Amino acid sequence: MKELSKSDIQQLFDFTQQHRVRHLDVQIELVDHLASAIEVKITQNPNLSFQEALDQTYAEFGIFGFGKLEQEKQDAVEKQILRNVRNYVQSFLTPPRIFLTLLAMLPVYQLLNQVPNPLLFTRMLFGGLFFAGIFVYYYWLIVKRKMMRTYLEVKTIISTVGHVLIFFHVALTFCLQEETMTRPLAVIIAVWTVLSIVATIGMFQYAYFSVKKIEERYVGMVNLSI
Amino acid sequence: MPNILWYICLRILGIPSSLIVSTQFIPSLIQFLQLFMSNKKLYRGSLSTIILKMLGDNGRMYGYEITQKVKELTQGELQITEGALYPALHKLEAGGHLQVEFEQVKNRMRKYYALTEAGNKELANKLSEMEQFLQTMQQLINPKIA
Repeated sequence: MKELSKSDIQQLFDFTQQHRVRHLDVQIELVDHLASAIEVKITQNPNLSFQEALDQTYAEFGIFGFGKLEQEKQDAVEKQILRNVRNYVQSFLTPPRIFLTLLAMLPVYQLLNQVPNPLLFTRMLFGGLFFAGIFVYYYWLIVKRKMMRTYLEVKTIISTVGHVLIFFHVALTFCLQEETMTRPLAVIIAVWTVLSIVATIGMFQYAYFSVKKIEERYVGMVNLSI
Repeated sequence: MPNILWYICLRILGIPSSLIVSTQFIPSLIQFLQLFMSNKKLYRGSLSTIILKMLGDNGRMYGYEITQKVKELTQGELQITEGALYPALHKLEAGGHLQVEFEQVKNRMRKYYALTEAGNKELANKLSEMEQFLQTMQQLINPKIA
């Protein structure tokens, strides 16, 4: 079996890059596939040049080439994250935890009854939560920016977490349009405040551990392949 | 983003917006037609079963090896296209049915897939489903044998 040289492999990495496969975790797999197929082709037919064998192999991918590969991987990971979140929420719903969550809502409700201007208090509370969430999220984006560019899975996890957080924090602003504070509104605010805090912490925890798992899996890989 | 730029350029040239938007569906239309023109569409729904079965029989495998093994076992009758294999593998991996490991082979890294415990259960489910399906089809196509 003929073996491809290091420069050939580098050429294959460039080839995947040119065909819009931007993430290393997808590139590595494709490069190995292309290299294996090219090696077999060149061994069977020694007159074939590297470029011809590469073209033949790429043609086997169909008319879309690598086009949809990244998108489909991203979709699969996204779906899995949402499934995991659903499982997490289901496992969270045990009597003691529900009781503790309800208990945590009480002080918020009490505070709303006691402060002189409850609407202003609500706005400040939601504003504070929103900016705290944004701050932590962006800090994380900056810390993980290199990993997001390299690994499609990490990018998908972090962006999905962002979407869930945006949902919770944007939904909060609907309460701000009210003009007077009523009892049902106070209950809604208390419930939503606690839920968004729990969701934010839960999502960050989930993202942190998933990314850590991926980091462990790919450890040392970057140095070896490029 | 390039789509929007493309749209703006074409609009400046005076092409109706409905025409520009409809061109976006051409790739999916082609794929749809391809699916119907292909005589392998019966195999398409069983791709994940085939992958799980291959991994169940052979332990850990890499992508190219799976295509070659399937080709070899079916004497070239079934050739898994790469465009379908990798999305299916990624879906199974995301679903927790496969675990992956990397290994340095020659001058490159190789991604090996193996079944997890959940994957083994999934394989058993899929196989019994498949047997059921084959039996039913057999009864319909060839009632005498059944």
